[in-house]
Amino acid sequence: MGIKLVLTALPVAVLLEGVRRKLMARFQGRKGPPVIQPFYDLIKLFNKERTEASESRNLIFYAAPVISLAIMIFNYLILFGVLGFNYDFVLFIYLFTTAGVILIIGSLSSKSPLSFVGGVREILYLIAYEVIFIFTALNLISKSGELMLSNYNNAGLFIAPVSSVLLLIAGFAILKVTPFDSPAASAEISSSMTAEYSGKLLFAYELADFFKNGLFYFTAAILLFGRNTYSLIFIPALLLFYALMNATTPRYSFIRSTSHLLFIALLSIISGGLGV
Amino acid sequence: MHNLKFPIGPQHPGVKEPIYLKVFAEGDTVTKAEFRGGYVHRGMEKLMEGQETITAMHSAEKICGICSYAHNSCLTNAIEGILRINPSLSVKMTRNVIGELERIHSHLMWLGFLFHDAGFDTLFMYYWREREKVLELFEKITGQRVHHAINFIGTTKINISESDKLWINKTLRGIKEKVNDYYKDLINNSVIKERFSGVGFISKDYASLYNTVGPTARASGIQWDTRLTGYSGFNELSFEAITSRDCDVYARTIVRIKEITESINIIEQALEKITKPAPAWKETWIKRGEGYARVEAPRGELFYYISVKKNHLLRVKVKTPTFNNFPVLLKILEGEKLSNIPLIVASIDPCISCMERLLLVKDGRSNILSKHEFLRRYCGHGH
Repeated sequence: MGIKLVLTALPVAVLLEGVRRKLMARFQGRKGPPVIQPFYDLIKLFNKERTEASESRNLIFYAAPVISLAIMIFNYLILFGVLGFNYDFVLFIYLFTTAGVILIIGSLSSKSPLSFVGGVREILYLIAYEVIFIFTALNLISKSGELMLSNYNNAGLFIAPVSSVLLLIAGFAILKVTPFDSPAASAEISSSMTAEYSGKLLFAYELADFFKNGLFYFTAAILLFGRNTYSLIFIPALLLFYALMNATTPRYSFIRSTSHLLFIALLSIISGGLGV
Repeated sequence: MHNLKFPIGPQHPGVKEPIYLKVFAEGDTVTKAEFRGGYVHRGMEKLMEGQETITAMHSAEKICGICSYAHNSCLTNAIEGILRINPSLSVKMTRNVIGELERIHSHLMWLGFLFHDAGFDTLFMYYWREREKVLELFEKITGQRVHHAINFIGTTKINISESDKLWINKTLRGIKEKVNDYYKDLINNSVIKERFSGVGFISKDYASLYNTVGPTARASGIQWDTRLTGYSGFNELSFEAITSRDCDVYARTIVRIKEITESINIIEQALEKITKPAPAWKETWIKRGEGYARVEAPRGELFYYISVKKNHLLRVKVKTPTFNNFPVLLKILEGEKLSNIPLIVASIDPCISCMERLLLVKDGRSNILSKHEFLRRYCGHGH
């Protein structure tokens, strides 16, 4: 059963990106690409030639996207219980963060100034949104009395509403949605972190990114609305919410967005302490 | 993040034409910016030398793809100045309609780029949709979307009929309504206000010291518009130069949006003054003469100096608005944040292919070279 779920969830994670693009296009009054466009993109990237600067050629640079992709798939395997052991919030957050950090290390090792600025921006964002993630999780654990994520079955939005809303705001930074998308700002730093990657490495990078976004949607739906079939309905709702926000807001400047995110992290610590 | 050297361009999503900005930064703050151009130099001035006046008018259009008509009209005005030809009011107004439509299309395109740089792609799409309507108008009136080639010496190739007038007015009313709607959204959007306000500050003193022109100067409180000199019948139309005292990116945005509305008003007045069809073209001959003209292109004052002998151009010198606006850019980038660079670069509306001229000064003698000559002499390329 579990393996079937994973084999469904992985393509769905990529498909969600296609739906997001379609929604964005509709908000902008365009027809938009077909929903399966991300698959076409990935196939094309996979067949593309790989070129990189001689300064970028090092083991970390090559290994980072592949390791990140492997960790992401591993994360899906344990989320849907394929590996056959119960796991807690801590393991989940650890794996989720590690995949992101490895991508940052990969981009920093490329020695490109664009990647460097993007990596530094992503690190600062990571510090902020991980705090929100952890304190929301702690709040939900203490409220539901359940340490294991695999046994967690509560609607977080009702038992800890403030923390849940803060988690949704952290989602902007995780999914790189405006106004909190400085690390992926194409006009400023030409999408920076992927600047030096091409071909199959970029394929692995993009796929890991799609899986990461998908995992956030799945996890947010489980945390906020409970682990049941009905919470699946909320995944499109989350998608619609983020696409709408992306379509209607410009980007904050990097300093301003980081200070906002750190303030929200502070709020999440307070709300976690108060248990709301 | 100390002493970071940050390259912007020649290929970069933040700059729409190939320029190379080498930015030195301390942390997230820019300490110095250096500019290197020459990527789209095509030797247009040299190309026009030796051409017949009427051919050169078409060549001038090819200097720019956005303000092509401004170049054409400026050269036409210079040639007509030498010949002392004063076209009829209907001809002048037909030219003004095309010129102002071009200003609307240029500003709408610029607004799209600015919001794309600010991460607001929805407004980018919305503004470009309105721009498309202007391009359709161009196609209907002149037969071309970008290079219109409507001018002859003393007359125009096209006539704007009564049905065209109705259609133009109807389309422009639609655009005005939409632009006003977006303007309301813009001034109510706190994120845009926060992002644009106080960024890229060009004080009035700096603006005049660096000789900025056009909307960039007007947004810094300098009340100057070349149209106020009354060339090409602008003295018969009532309009005002839109200015602002805020001096930042937000002010430049607001000035350009208001200029769109003002241009629509000008077109409505100009259409009423077109009463007679354009006269037929009579061949002209210039034995020897020198002339100049200046017009208000979408980005500011455009200047042409020409020297003519036996109806062929001996020398052409073009001074485009971006040439005036660019030096101040490198100055105002100092002390700004890295994330504001695309906004500031976009805010002066640089048109690089307009600007790129090459003047070699060697031993006190200046030399204008075509692209091929330059490559042959200095880059070791053969023909």
